[in-house]
Amino acid sequence: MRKHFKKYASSISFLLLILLLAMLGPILGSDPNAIDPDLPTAGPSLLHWFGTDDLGRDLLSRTAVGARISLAIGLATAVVAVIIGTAYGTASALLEGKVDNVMMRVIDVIYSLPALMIVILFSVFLGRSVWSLVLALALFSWPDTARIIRGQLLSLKREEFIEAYHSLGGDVFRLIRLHFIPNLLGLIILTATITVPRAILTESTLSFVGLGVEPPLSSWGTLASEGWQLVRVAPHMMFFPALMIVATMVALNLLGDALRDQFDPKSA
Amino acid sequence: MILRQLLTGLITLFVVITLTFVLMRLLPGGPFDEERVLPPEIKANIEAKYHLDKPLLVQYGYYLRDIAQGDLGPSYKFKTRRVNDIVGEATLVSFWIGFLALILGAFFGVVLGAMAGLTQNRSEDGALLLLGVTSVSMPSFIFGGFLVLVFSLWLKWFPAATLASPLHYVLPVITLALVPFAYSFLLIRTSVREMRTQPFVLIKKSFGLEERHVNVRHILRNSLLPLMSIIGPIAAAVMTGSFAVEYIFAVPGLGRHFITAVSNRDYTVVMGITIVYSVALIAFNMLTDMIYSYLDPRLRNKGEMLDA
Repeated sequence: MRKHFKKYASSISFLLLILLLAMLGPILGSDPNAIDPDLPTAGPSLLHWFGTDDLGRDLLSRTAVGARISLAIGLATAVVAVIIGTAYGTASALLEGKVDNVMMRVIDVIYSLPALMIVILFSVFLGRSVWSLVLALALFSWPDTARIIRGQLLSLKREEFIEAYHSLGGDVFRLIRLHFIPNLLGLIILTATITVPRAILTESTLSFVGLGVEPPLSSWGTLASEGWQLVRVAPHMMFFPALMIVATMVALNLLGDALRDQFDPKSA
Repeated sequence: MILRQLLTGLITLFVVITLTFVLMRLLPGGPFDEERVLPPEIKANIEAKYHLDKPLLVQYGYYLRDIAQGDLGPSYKFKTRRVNDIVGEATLVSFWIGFLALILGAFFGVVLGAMAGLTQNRSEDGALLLLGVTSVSMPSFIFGGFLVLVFSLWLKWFPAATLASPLHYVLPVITLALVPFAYSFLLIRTSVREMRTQPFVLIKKSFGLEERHVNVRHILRNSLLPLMSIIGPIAAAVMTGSFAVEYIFAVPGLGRHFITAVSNRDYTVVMGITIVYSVALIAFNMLTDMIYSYLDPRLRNKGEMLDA
């Protein structure tokens, strides 16, 4: 922890700031949907810190509301992916042999699917809501978790204290609860941290090309997309959402790096 | 080992074909639902022409048969064109900018990554690392938008859209090169750092070999090996990036056609593009594994080691 104090401190404090913005933003700025016809595409000012969009809506509060959608999609995807991935990885490692082999082949197949295209098809099929996006994103995120958990469990299983547990005749669920979960907790947090920025990246790319969340909802990707349409007249409309995306990604990647050094020294 | 990969590839392809087929057919609305409602007889005729009136399973059978013969079918939206023609042109475009981007990104990634890995100067390494982490965190569409804003709207150095002349290639290729750059940079930096402390490197140095010689011939050469192992994932990421890049720069490639085809419900085009992408991905992954096991004899005939 001490070795990576700087990384932890800077990334976590920035993420807290974003969270704070997501919660308080609409209070700081004005109503995100209030239209001001006198101030379309105005640059940053004291009244509107991030400027206004083409309808004169305050961009600070719109970015804050967008943060909720983007972060919610990232977090929800990570939760779903980690639950599925942990269960799958644990099962695969415990069953071993042929079953394990087949389960890993399934993951190989998923890895070579054209993820983005199938996410698009899925989300169009399921109706382009936040939840359908989360489901589609999670579908391609869990194999990472499953692989990491499986690898760790396979080496954990050969540890002496696990052997001792078996020789004392303990049952398998108690083993999972008592020894596996505490030993895997760090790795689980790590995989969740890696999953969040990837989900946010994919979601914002989809929203940018017009295949992500639908209006009236808007994520950072949607805001950036609106900004891109007007980039000639109002570059600030794309700049602020883009800045939020990049800064959040940097913070999450730094956090992931620090966690990886701490919990998974082999791959660092 | 090659046989097993080939099998996995075939299974993957089958899954892709089936999955896209099912998803596309289950989508609400057909390709011929337009704002002006067609008379039922005409609609029935069109559907009969494209076999859309048959049961799903029969349609699926037709489709598999055609694909096996290398025919992706007719486009529903552009009635005079075959999917093969559309996809063929688009593949060439996407392949070209993807290829150029891969070369450009990997080159700068290796050079700067080696610099960051070899330098003794902490602030120099720190600055380079910051560059690497930022590039890994930067979505392609933001980087591309930034380049357009600066280099084509403000400075007016490069055109911003389409691929009309070689000059038009500059910005999209640079944008697309970001991902391979970031990946190879971070990887080379770590592996050079590790290599520097390896016993054989210390021995070469203690022999009194020149620093430069050891750096290039022994450290860098051995550090390049792991790069091969991530070419598959990099290629996949370049493909993902190409969606945003082709959208921003109005490049008539696979990604752009895919987006249009999804909103047009042009089933056959969507499926054709998905199949081409999958074949490319599978081929890349197989190629990577083959080159890797050729370069690293430790991995030969040991498929299971790659799973660890």
